[in-house]
Amino acid sequence: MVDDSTLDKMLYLSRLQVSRDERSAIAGNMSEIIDYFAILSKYDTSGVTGGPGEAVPAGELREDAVREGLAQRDLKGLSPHFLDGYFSVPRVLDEG
Amino acid sequence: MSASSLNRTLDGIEYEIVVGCEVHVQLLTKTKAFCACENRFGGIPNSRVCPVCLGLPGALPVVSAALVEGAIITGLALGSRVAEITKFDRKNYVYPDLPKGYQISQYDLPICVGGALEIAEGARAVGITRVHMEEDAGKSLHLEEAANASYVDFNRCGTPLLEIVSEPDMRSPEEAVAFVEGIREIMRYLEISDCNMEEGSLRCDANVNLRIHEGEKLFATPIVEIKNMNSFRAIRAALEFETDRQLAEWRSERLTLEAVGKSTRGFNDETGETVLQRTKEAASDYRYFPEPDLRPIEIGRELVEKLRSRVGELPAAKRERLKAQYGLSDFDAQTLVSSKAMSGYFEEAASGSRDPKKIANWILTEVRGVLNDRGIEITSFASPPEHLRELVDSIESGIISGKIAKDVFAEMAASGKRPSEIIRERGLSQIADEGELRRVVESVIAANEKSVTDYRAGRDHALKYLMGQVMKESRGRANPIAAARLLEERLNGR
Repeated sequence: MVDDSTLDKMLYLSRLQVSRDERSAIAGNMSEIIDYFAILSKYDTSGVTGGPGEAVPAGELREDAVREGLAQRDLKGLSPHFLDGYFSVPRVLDEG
Repeated sequence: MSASSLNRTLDGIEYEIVVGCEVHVQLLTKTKAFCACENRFGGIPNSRVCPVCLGLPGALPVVSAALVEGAIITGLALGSRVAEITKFDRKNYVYPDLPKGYQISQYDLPICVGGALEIAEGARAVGITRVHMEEDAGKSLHLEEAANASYVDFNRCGTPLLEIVSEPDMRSPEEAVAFVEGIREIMRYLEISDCNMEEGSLRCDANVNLRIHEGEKLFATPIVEIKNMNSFRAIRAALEFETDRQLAEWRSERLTLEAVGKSTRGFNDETGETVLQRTKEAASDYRYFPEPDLRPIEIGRELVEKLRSRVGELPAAKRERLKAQYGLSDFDAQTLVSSKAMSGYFEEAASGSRDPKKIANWILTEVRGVLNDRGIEITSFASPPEHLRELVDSIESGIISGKIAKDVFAEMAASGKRPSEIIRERGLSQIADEGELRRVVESVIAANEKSVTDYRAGRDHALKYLMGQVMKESRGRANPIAAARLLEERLNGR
């Protein structure tokens, strides 16, 4: 079972807030997911490289040639917050 | 080097500084890492964006071959092992300049692992942990007059980056600076990156802590990751400040790495201090998982060998060879090896030359002067290396004087003509014929009776004046050694 501190951390990372009543249900759901991975981990995956799909040879990757992207008028259509050439967002202080 | 020689002592505390660096380098590819938008610095905000780098729903990334090749070349230059299979992972974090909500990076199968970089400072090797590929984020703009809003430019979003992670092998701020300088030299030399710190194409974070020796006991202070060091001076200053701060903290609180863990501090260039930003995220906080939109990449050995030939001789080895082979000074070798093209130009010009050292002098003074004046690179210089060799050899063989050579060079650099052609067209070849030189000497003596009398009265400076007149009369073409001999003979009545 997922303990309280793990649940708190997961909720913080997911930017989710839940009520006190919902906590045990969510912890239960998370435990089920973890149990499912416990089943998967019984299988030998040592030969599996871990990526999705078959590997692509490096020689077949995208050629380094520029293509035109979106014009400013396209960007204006994308977001009501596109102003004076910039996307405006709520004020952020930390540099990430 | 023994451990004790690395230790310092302050107020009775014996300690050792331990530094590891994470260097981010933007690549000089034409396109971004996962889309075909143009990759370059600056420009009109949000003028080089597309659905992929804006993270619009349904847009899928496509890996640039140039990114992978740049990473392999870098790894080979650092002596890393290049993976046979590599893959991308998502590093999740929330910030407005990262529109997808995750950065495409590499977690457990980076493209290059291991290796080392020899640094001049301390004359030792700094281990390389890994080199991995990722994408840059956009840039946020915070205006004072806009209290409630920030502005985002996504031109930089998706710029191909390499993160080069070192082992914690550096033992002083100077060694950390030398390491980053070494990375910059190699990346510039291989033309992988311009490594311009002002524009952010080379960025460095450093992890630093102290090992405190108390008798037989060893303590480690909490590791601090320092961010926002935008110059070599800042790297040195930040590490010096952080060393003092950690020593003071140890003295007052005796906090250890085991008890406190890691934290992140930002360097403030104005105050010269580091400021706590946050306790450090663990890898699990980023919820890494394999990037489902990109297939793993298989790197064939043929490609690695092809790219190895592009790495060739690295700057440090080339400097030593040029010094030994051509008798160049440290300064000459350092300057000529500042770029692959410059050292290539020198070696082509020096090959078969009578005096390679003089070739180096001409490149370092005259050629560089022209390049600086015109703001061009050696690759755009009008005269090919064989022309410079011909010019220098023309001086050595006495065809032209050093002074005339400068005029010839100016025309070569402007027109791209061969020096022999310019000398012939303008009749600049040196007069070495004794009969012709005697005629010039006689004419000068006849026209300067007073100076002749002065010289004969023992005033030696008159000889210099008369020699100047000989050079003037011959329009600088008189062979100075032969002309001086003939002038003296004539004046002394021999």
